[in-house]
Amino acid sequence: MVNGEHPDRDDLVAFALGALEPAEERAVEAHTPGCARCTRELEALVPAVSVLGESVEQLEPPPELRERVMAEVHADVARSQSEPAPAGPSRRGWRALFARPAFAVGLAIIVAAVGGYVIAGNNGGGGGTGTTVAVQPAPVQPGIGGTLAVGENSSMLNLHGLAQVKGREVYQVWVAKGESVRPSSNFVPDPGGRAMTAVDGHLTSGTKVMVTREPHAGLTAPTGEVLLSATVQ
Amino acid sequence: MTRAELQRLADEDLMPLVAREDPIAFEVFYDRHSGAAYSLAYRIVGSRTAAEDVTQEALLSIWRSGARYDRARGSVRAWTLGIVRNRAIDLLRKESGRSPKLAEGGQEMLERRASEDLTDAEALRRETAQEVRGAIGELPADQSRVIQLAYYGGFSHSEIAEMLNEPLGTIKGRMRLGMDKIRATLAEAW
Repeated sequence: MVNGEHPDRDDLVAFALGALEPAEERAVEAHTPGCARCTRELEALVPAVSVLGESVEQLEPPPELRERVMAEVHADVARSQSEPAPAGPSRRGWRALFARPAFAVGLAIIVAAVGGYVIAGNNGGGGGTGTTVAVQPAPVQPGIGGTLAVGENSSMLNLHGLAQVKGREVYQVWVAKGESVRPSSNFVPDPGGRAMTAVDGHLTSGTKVMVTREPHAGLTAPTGEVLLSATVQ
Repeated sequence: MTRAELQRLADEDLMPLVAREDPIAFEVFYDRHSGAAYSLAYRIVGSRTAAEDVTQEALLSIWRSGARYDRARGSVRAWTLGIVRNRAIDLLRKESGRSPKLAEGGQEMLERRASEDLTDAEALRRETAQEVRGAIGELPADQSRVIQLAYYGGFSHSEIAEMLNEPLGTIKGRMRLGMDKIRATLAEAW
């Protein structure tokens, strides 16, 4: 594929199968949203790829798995319903992330959400006023810094000092509110270590925006160290 | 909503309720998709324990991330299996040796899903899946192999070309031809 042109069909098929090299994958991801032809082609491939997943021999998961999963679900519900939320049992994967030291010492970007939409001093969008930003150096990745401009319907992270990623790695933005953590955008920095990326949705007070470095895009929960975080005041 | 009412909802209408942290809605989602999720996880990682771990983490991540399902990306099943596949491939990569599971023989016998209690939709899916499995089996071996290495092994086309000592263009062509045949089989099945 040549930059700026359509990926060839072989590359679209490989992309649908998750078989492209990271740079090729990013190129297709960057190209596709604005291209109806390639979007149609990828949408046409979805059923075939999906059926690969479904065509394996069907096995019954053990009942204990259902018990474990639903126990976690009910524990989450109980926690979110109680005030204050009690400390729950130790969890695997992303839940443990909140207790990890890296989260506490990660870069803190303190933002006062006052409405409106500001990027680096420019006014735009809903015509709000401005944001107050404080940046502290992060021991985890020295030199990293940036701002979070909070807007009415979306916000913008503007970062610098980012290390280059390797292979399929990306920087992933997460939005945390209470017990819930959801993925937002992902990005790779430019050669100068800078990046700007949107954070979708209205960020209310107490919402935490985090950035981790992940092995590839598409994850639904963080697996990497938190490199920076910002809590909307 | 009662459990019976939730069970009558289509997947696309159930997911917003899962996103609103309705545990019964999630239970219905789990009962519908955990079998397919576990089966795919097992196919990729090759062990029952690891498949349980992958399935648990993938489905709980859906619950905890607000079930951000997007209809534009295909069915709920397709979306769920995409998440499961990613988790499974991540686990393969973390382990010391990646071993693509090309052969299904010789693995531990696990309980097959009983077919008596299937809904019509699930029965149709099984039938289609069997047809596709048959179609994959009928693909030329070189096409089947590269698709399996990519999808179930998580290898890139460059890695596959290197593994099989073939030109990259040849590998990409086989992938495309094989997927075109699978699409044609699906078109006939539907």
